Amino acid sequence: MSLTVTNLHGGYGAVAVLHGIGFTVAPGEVLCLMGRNGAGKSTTLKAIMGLVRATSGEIRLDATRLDTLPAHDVPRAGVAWVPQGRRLFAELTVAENLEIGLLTRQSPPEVRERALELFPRLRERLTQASGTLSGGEQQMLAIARALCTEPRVLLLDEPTEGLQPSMIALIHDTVVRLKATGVATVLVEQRVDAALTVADRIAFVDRGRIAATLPAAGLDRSAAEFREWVGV
Amino acid sequence: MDLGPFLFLATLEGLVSAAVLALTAVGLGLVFGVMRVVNVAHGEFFMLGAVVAWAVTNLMPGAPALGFVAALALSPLAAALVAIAADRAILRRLDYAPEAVIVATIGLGYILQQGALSLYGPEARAVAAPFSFRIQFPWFGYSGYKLAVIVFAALVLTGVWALLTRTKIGLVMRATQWDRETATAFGIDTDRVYALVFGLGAGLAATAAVLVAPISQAHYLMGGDPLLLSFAVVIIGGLGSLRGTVIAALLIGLTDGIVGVFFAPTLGKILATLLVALVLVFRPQGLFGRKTA
Repeated sequence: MSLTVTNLHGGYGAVAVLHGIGFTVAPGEVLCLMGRNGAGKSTTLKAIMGLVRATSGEIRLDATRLDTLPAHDVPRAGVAWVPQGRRLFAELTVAENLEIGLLTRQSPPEVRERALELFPRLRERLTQASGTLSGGEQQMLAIARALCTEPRVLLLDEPTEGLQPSMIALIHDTVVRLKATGVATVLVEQRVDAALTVADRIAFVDRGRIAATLPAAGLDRSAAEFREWVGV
Repeated sequence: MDLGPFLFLATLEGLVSAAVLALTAVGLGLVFGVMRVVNVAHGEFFMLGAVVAWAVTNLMPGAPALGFVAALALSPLAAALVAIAADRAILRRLDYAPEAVIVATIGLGYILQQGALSLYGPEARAVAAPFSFRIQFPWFGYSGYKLAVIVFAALVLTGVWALLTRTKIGLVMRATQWDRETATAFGIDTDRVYALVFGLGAGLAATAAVLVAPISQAHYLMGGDPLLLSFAVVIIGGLGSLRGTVIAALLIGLTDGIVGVFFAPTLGKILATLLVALVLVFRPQGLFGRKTA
């Protein structure tokens, strides 16, 4: 399924953050949103999830309008969100966090098994409160919980933030494996290397709109776009 | 009577108070824990439970036990339905803003109280107990009904614990309690969860009132004390902690019962209030609560 965001405006109350942002992500494609802090990357993901109300514009999952659905129906339509900072249900166990994911679309237990195959370490922690996991394990759980919803579109908001290199590699490997299954992925990333490693295209976000979209293959870390739109 | 039997009697009285208080306070604590709002109308849902119990037991023909069982089913249901309607009509429109909900539930409580005065009247009315037998201890006889209240309250509290920890709806409630926005992002209709929790909280208060009505009668002003004591229990136990709420209810109920029997009922309330003040000063998150950032 393709996700298409068209001319989206929105924000928090009277504070407008998105000023006509638009992009399309195809099945099996990884689109990376890059930009400075406050550019509107995370707000875009929240708007897709219905957690920030769009004031105008459209969000479509194939033909289905997402922006007119109640927020709790967006994940049921097949969009999963891995929020910045993980936002696990910290008092709930690992198994209970995964169960919440399964309940989203009434998925069978095999879906959880597939998610655990990606992150076997979580299997040893099923009865542990998720708030007591290490940072890397928490990120694994945040992704596994999202995968338990059987998403066709995955929104990843800075999934490697604060992680050690081995864990970053694992997360990247997971994104690539999911891409092979046909999941359309929108990745918010601040690190140029990470973006170049996993993304097919990079969309530079500036003041709530897309300033430029380029194929990742045509870029290297010294490209002027990174200096101009990301500030690195 | 010797000191030992006297203490035993006081403890039994304290356990009855604690059982009723625990049910009421768990309802208040559940609403705060999940919805992060303070329901000032909680005492009036308690009153509503007792008043509806009086109405049901009087309307129901046949044995008193039959009427009481019907009241035990219908009163919490009635209170829950009123609470759910209030949630939809008022709290949801306020977007559960904590300060606005306090003011709104003060108004809601007043409406319920004056509604009861208009429809039910100012009299305190007796609700027939479902059975009346005395359990004879070597030193005194004691109401079998009061002991049944303790057992029934314990069963209901166990049921609430099981609901929260052993069922899917409990899991959904705990996820919503922890992070409403993320819960929504996992397909949870948190508006419905809030309505359910608000109804459940009111239903628990009403259940407590039905149990206590044969002991203390039903009256339109009876909601004040349960509300204040529930706040005391929830503050001492720790907001959002079921275990803390039950333990604090035992502490306050037993203190109230024992001190009330040995000294004066007012002294028990003074000690409870003092305990609240000490907890607020030295451990504001409550004995079993967690510090919030």
